[in-house]
Amino acid sequence: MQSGFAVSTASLVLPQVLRAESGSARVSASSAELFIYDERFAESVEAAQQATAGHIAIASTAEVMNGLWYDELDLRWKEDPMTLAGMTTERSLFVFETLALDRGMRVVSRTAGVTEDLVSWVIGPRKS
Amino acid sequence: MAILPPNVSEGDFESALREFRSAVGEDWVFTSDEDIHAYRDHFSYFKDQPNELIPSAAVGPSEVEQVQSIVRTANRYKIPLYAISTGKNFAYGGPSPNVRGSVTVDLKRMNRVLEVDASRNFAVVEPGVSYIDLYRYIQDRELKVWIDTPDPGWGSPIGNALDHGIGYTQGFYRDHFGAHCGMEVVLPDGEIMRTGMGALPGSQNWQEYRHGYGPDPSGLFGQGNFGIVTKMGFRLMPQPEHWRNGLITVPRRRDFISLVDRVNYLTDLSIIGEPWYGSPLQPLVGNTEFREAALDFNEDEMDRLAAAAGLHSFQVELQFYGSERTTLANWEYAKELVAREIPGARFTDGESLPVPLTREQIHETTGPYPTNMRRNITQGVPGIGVWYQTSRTEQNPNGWNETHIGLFSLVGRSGEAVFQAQKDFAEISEIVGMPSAFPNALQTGVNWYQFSFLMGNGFSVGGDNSPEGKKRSTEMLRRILEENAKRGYGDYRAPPMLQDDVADQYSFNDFALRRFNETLKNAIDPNGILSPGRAGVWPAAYSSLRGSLR
Repeated sequence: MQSGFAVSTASLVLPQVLRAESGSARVSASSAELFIYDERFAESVEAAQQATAGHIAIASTAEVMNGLWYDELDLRWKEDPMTLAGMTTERSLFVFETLALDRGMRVVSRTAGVTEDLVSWVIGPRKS
Repeated sequence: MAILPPNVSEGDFESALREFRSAVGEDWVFTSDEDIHAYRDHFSYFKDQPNELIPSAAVGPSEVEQVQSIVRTANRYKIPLYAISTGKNFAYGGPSPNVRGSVTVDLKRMNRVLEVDASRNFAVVEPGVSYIDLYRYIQDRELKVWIDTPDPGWGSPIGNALDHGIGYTQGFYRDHFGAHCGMEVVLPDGEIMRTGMGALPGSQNWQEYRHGYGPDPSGLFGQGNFGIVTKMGFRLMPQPEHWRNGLITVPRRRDFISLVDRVNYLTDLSIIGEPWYGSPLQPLVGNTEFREAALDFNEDEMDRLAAAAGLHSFQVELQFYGSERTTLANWEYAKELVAREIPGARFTDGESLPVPLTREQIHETTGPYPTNMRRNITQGVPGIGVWYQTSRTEQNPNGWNETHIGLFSLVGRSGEAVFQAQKDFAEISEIVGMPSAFPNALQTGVNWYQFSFLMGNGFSVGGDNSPEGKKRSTEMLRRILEENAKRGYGDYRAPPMLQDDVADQYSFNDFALRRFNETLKNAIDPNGILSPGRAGVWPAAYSSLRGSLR
């Protein structure tokens, strides 16, 4: 799978599963520049494949936690409020949410119960 | 979910908010539910309950003058404030205040690294700087100093030090409050004070000589509520040329006593960094015969079964900092010292890396033995992986723990003291009806603070996350703290919900220490506006709230 931030696709459409859940958010999943998935869950991998098909950059939670957040994500967030979307465990979301709050971002959409273990979410600017 | 500060009218609160907005700008006063969500303790035992510790508002100053203005407004309207740096401190209350309805002073915007001196080895930072920020600042400039980071490293050096947090390199630096040198504080009346040499105008030594002249009040601001720290200096470790680690295992249970003695010797000569103890016998816990022996503290039987399985009883991983030759010589010396005292001890060479480390070396996950989870933090590299990794299992892939909490008691730094604590904690688990998650006989101390061990009781309170279940768990935790204190164990840190219980452990001479602190508190902060109740220090204005979370 593709990883990293090479593709910036603000106008492209995210998978249906995300659009439906983020409809009320001021910043929607469709404006996400990066989609985070958990490689251990088929549903999450499938959502990532759909994101890739929509030319959204993707990264696995493992990649992000093991250094991508430091080498790329945090630097990007320092420069501008890049929107993230994802389908991960609650524990992983907590990490992203915590990092986001330090850079003026917050969770703007959160839907639990996608599966027993997964939550889908969008992180956008705190002030939007 | 609009709530008001205690004993403050809606009108006064609105007036105070107007003054806060005037001080910091419209965009930096938060009152909406979405914004307040960020200041809750997501692991609170009281989450979503009427007594959950939620602020009424949050204010985000960017300059020290704004902090002064906020404090003065709070005094005018008698509104309790709770200052946070970056608001992490998870397991110890996170960003949540001590008193429901307080106004959180969020210092994240004060995020400047003011100075890093790589010749004199110190840094001066503001509260909103995280360990990650400071690390990046140093790396970007290729400065030859190391930070000592907690794990994860998303918190702030100031916040962590002020809560007596710890790290994982050399002893002096691991004690983050102990490694601070000089602070600037906004006092409860809004005045600015500097400690140590910072009190001398034009001093060149603020970060080099901590004591200044006369009584040094720095300690009052650690786990304290006497001021809002707006700048702080920290001693930094010079970047070593080389890092190396190694693993020592000892065969018999009683060998642990000699092992700790030898490691203490190496530690206190500054030959090694953080020693990380453990037991290689964990794989035997599933063996009924061994488990019974361990639960009975039957040492001969444990030794017999360990030998039969070809396993050693205890281990310690050591870290070495210096040049390639000195780290090797020190590792050889450590081996010689232990081999002299403990027949049958085994030694495994770890990794040996020149410094500075490359990003590839930092991300490398293989090694002679599995230490990767801890390796980076012993090299002063902040990460977030520990939060993501811990608790995840095949049975629980999410790893979410609704009631994440930290409780560690101070235990004597000897093998005998650890063995006694193992038995005491097992007995306490029986008394309170909270089973240990594993045989206490395999538990070791953590040597975060150079001169003491910390140990948890080994309880497991998960399972029932209903409000009633959480209430039962809370009551059990309180009983554990009481029983610990009866045996001479005190905790070093606590979330707000247990702060009065831990403070109660320190009761010598009818709570002389607490009475002293509260006398000072009432004199320095007569309206009691700064973090009332922090660490069990309640000002007169809020004394009725002591124990109110019980």
